[in-house]
Amino acid sequence: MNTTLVRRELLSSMKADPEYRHAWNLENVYTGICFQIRALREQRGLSQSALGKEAKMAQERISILEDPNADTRPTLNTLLRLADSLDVGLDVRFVPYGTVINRSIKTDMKELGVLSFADELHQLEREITSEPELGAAKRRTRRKFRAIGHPTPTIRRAGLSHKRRSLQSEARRKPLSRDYAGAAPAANGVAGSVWAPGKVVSFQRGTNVISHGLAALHGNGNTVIPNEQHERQKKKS
Amino acid sequence: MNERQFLDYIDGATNPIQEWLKDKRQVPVKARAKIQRILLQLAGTALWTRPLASNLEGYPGIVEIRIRWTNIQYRLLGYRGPGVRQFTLLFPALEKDDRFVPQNAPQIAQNRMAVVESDRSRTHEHYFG
Repeated sequence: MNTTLVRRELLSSMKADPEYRHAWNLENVYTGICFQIRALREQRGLSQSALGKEAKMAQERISILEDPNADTRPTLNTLLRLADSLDVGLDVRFVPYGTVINRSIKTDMKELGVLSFADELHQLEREITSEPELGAAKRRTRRKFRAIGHPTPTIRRAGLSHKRRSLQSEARRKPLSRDYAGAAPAANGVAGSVWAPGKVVSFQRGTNVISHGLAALHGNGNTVIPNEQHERQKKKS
Repeated sequence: MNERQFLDYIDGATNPIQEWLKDKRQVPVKARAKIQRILLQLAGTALWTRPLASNLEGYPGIVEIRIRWTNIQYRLLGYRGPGVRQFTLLFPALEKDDRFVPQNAPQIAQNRMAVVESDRSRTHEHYFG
């Protein structure tokens, strides 16, 4: 299935006829949910009666909920009961039509599956704990650069990632200068990266401030060299 | 990847499936939206099960897709082919009082299936809009 083509066809029909647009919206909700209930049940290897037992519903009721041709349509309460028994969230919200179109074409039953809370917990905890830590680490490092009298080094945007990579590999080969070997512990404290005198032991993605710091050590015209600036300022004074 | 490509049977320059879908007297707009949404979903579904889809007894190879809108029972007849992971819609029919309308719908579908099998150019990618 050519998803770009289908998306274009849907947009064309929705643009031409508001009635069709509204009808699609309705069918996307009710037909979509029928198939997702089935996908969730199959993902967990449950029979209709087993899911019914979990949700305190009869097997016939589950069968109706999975049938897009059924007379009755599920209420929010029913969906919430199912969400509870499957241990997944339920998200009901207004969205732009672009979202409706994009979700309409994601019909692969495997994509409709959702992890239960217990299954996603480990990943969720890791995401939630690591994100603020990195932000705080960046702020701490910036403060420490300022504290030792150096401006936070910056690199021009063009070719940044390539330049950063080459500087990082260079930094691994060369020992840090004596000045920076002393300054390094002050700039340390970033989760997951360790600065030892004369050597960078590990380096992790997302610690941009540290990469910028390394770039500054081995400046090549595009970088600010805090060391030299600092020396110049000292001589002037 | 469970994706299946939907094709329409074409008859010369005409596409009978699209003509039927776009004819508001035969298929109201809301019914068209439901039919298209279900077809789109079936394109991503590996295992088609009753009551939504089933093999038509007495007509080997023919599959009927059952879609109900208000009290109208639509029956889209097609077959799995001509290629791998392809499904060709051959003939759109209705069901009233346990009978196809028109009554010879399965025969027409079977004839068309033979045509497509012998000449693959008699299909066109289904328009989902």
